[in-house]
Amino acid sequence: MTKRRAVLIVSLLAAGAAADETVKETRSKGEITADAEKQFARADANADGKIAGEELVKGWSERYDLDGDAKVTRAEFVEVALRPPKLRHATPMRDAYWRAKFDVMIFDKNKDGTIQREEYPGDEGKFRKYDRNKDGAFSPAELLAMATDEIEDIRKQMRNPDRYEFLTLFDADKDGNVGLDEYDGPSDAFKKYDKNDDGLVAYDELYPERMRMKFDEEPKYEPESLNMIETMDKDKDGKVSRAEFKGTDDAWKRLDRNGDGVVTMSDAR
Amino acid sequence: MRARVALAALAACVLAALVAPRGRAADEKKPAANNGSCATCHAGIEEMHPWSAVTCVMCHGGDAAAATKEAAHVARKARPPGDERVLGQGLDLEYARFADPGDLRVAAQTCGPCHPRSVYDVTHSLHATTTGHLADGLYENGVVSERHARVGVFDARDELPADAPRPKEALPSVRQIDGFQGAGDRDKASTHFTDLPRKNCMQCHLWSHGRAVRGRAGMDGDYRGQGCSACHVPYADDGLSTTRDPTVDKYEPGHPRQHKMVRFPDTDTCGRCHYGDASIGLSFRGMAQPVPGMPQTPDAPGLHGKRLNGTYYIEDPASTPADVHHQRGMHCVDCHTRNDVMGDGFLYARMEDAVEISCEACHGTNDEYATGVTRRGTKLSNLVRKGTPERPEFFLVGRIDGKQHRVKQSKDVVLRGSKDFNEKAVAAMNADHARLQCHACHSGWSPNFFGFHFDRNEQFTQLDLISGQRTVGRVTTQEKVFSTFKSFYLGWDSHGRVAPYMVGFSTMASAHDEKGALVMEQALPTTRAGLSGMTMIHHQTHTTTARARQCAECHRSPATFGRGSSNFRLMRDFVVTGGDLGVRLLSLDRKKPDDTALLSALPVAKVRAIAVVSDRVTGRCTWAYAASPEDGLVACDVSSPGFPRIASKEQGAAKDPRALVAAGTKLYLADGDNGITVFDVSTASKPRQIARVPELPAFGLWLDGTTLHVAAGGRGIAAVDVRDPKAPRVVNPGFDLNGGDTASVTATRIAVLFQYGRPNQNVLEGPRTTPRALAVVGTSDAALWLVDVTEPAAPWVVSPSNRRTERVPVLDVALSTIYELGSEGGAIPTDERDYAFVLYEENGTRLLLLDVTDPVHPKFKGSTDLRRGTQSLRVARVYNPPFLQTFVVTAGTLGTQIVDVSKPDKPAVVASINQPQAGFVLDLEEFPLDRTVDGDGKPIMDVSHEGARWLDREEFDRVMATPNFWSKPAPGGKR
Repeated sequence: MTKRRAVLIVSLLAAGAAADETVKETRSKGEITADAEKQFARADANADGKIAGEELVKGWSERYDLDGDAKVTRAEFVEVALRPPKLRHATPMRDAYWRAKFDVMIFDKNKDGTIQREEYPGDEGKFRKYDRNKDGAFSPAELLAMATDEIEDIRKQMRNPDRYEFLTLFDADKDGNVGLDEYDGPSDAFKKYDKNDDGLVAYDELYPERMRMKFDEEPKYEPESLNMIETMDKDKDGKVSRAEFKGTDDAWKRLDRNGDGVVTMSDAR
Repeated sequence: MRARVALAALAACVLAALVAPRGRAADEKKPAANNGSCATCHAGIEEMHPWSAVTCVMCHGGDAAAATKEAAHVARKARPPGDERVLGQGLDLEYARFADPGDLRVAAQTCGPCHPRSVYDVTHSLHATTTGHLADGLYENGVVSERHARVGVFDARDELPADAPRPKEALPSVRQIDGFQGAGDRDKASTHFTDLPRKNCMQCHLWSHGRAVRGRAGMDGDYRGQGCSACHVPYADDGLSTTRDPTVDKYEPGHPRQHKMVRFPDTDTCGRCHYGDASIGLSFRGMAQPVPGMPQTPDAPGLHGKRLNGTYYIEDPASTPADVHHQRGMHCVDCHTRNDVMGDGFLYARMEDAVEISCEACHGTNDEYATGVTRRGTKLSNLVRKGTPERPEFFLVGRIDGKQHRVKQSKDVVLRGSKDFNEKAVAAMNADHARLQCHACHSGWSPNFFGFHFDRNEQFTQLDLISGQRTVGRVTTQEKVFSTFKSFYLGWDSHGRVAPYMVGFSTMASAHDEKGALVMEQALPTTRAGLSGMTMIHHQTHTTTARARQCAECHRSPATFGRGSSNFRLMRDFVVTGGDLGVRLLSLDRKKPDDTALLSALPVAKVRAIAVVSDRVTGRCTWAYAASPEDGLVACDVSSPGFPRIASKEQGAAKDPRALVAAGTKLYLADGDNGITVFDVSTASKPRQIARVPELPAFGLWLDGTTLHVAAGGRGIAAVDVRDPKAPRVVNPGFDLNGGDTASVTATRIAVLFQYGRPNQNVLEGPRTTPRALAVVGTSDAALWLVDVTEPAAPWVVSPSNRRTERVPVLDVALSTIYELGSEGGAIPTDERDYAFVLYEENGTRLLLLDVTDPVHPKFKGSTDLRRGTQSLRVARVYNPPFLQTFVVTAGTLGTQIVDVSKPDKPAVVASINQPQAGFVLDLEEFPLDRTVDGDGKPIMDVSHEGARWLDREEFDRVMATPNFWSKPAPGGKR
């Protein structure tokens, strides 16, 4: 995992907590847009094309104000509405302003509104790239530029998500599965991983068979008694040669107690 | 005492006068009228000995009346070997004198006529015999059974009058050290070690000119003369001469700087030799040997900008500040007396016997002002007393530059009303600490390179520097394994006072026979007393700081007294895992971790905790204890790892086992809500329950000395005093990490590391950083907490869990210090950092590395994905010559994984061993190089100096029991 992604754990948790909608979306894009337009018009009491000030319903800023300018435009309102239900809010995985804001929340230890080099856990090269005025700190504008590029990278990954990134990119509610109510990637990718076609890409579907075991599962094997002849004697000649043994030379010398070049039962004790 | 010394000096003079060629001495002591024909060619040459008139011929021999160079110079009888060998004492003396009149082989004829006592003394001093160095190595590596073997570079005997009074430590004679003793047991490190001294330890004494043979370029810092000239004739770092003598090649390295003697050698001259071993010559100047693998470029941060002795030394005021005396402009000879440096005529086997200076000679004691007299009665001529008899002031006059240094008096520091009075010092400089050496507390830092390694390979030959013959066996040394400048150790020194201990001559051995077959690999030495030779010895660290170490660095750090830490555990060969498939032993391949494979297994049901007991001396596993809710406590004999066996099962001894800790003959089991159970494993095959702490839930344990730190589930963390394991005493029944907040915090894992204070760059004025015992606490519901447990009964949270990640469950934790290597380009400095290794669940299982060097501001360093179901981890320090690697070995439902975290910002999984359901827990076969005493207080490591020893159990307990009167954490955690 990159440092960026480690940070995202935190961001995603916050985003997941906000995503409380579980309603299955049955409307078409056009219907959603039309409904959103109507809702926006109702909220925009002074009909100036933006919801601001007293027009803003509590919680709408966090939900619709994607660029953090303290007002919600029609475009922002519609864009959020068109997202899957669980993604209908601003999130650091989709919106650059909120990504930058979370960066400040996480890294700005001294709360001065900027992120100094010593506060930033990312690599030196990246810091140099985005610290454009070379003052040794990320200003809000520089953070926004970095977040914009990162969101662009995320969107690139979303276009062709691999199995290892799938949960990171789309599991908005952090339940270990990705449902259609939180998925905004290409439909063919969803179908590719949704092997049982139940509308849910589960962890077990993303990873190979051997990765699916759970800690809580009952053991499939009984405890066993094995000595090194049973584990390492590949040619089944009753003795382990140096070539068959895997381990250090030092370990081999310890195990070949009589020093005859092979380990047999006579080396047992 | 003075009378004895005077008598000895007189005897030495008489003896030397007898030895010296009489008529010639008498003639040559006359002032020289001129230098004859020498001056014709050597026009402009500097005056070597300006204190009295000495002609060229008086020192160099030859014929000043001759008309030709050939006739004037002394002809060489044999071609010089041109290497580092030590020439015989009687070999071509006439030419030896011509080449370097300071050569000890001829010094009686050159320097001796005027300085007979000096010549006698110096040829019997440790600088000439090297007895101390050689003896320590021989003892620690099990070659000899006697401490202080009487061996030297050449035979030497006490030739002073039989009735002259002698110090009790004086030796009658030393004999020349033997060469390789091939008749010994070739499976023992001690046999191979005998080949080392004569091939590797013969360049650092006055009979040798060292490594930098004349004409050999690139040996900056090594060029020096030999014998008297080694100290009294300065060389430039680059060995080039700036003499006005036109005949001297100004481009050939290995010539004195000028044809000029000095009465007192400066620190740089001492540094020509004192850079190896404990490196006090480096430490004093604020330098240290480099960490293996660190970038070696002149511009790399934290390095001395000049290449000396073939390396770029660390010179980092933040971690290796110079000794305060050096910072004040003093030189070695400002403290060290003539007797210290040139000897007092007697043969000694130990430096502490030969050195007479002590801090008290100049600084006095808490009760008395300085006497200016050494412990052998020598009056310090450069210490001046002024002021009034009641309020004297002392000044030390620099021998090199004449500069006066005010010498603070210990008595004034604790004398109320004095201008040097220090309230804090009063708490320390009192009768309680009367048996401490001053440098026990005022030692700013110590360079320690645990696990020196030598390799002897019989496929090759190497020059025996004494015999001059190439013999079978190439011995390479100076391979360091662990490097640390933070750690600090104390013990009793030979004089019965507590002093710092440092790694000395302990070496582990690898050897190959003449066909290249491995004879031994990383074998740990055993002394003839049956104890480990991978040990330390007391030192004057020469890193003095005016500010003393803080109390907690001794009184709250069991590691200081050799009780071990999570650092410096050298991984051996096997990993032992426990799970539903029982106990399984894996053979870990250090060089190819991916080849790590299952070796053997034992049928124990549902193992949930495991502890490996390794042999105290060899570090090889002997027993593994597995705890299971079904089989109880199971003792597994793993001394033959390929064929382990179950020795016993104590059914019902464990109900909900979560952690096992083995220490000495005791075993501590965290049994979930059932509390802690203590077992006696004196009879290893038959654990016997001796105590229980049922009232304290226990899910994770960490034993630090005699304090058992407990991850106590919903109670947070707790602590139990196990000084008496039969009667464990709860000293902290539970510390709520969340401070009474309603959110649950369930502590399940704990690891503790003592973080020593670091000296300030300004060692005279600046405070040390705050030392603390840092606990990293993993919780099942609230991520990770960093807690100060310096006072186990009163912990406080240094860095709370991040509330936004509070849902993340932590599965296991570990703490370890890694010397993080800097970047080649120099942008990232090499630095010793403390890391928390955290196994946690977040969309699968992940390993996170946090830099907790400053636990108030922990920094994310790196992370990597692990296989889902991974349950536990251990940090394995693996030595693959010439580098130390750090692995994290994990166990889980899918098997074992090995993660290389040598570069903490780039952890990489290097091996995945599939063993479904095999392991939930694991432990390692390892040897803790900083553990000198076992859990029962019995020595594990030997001490090579007679009278020196580790603190025993009672003494250790007394030190640790000191109440916390000196400091209390203030809000924000500052002590």
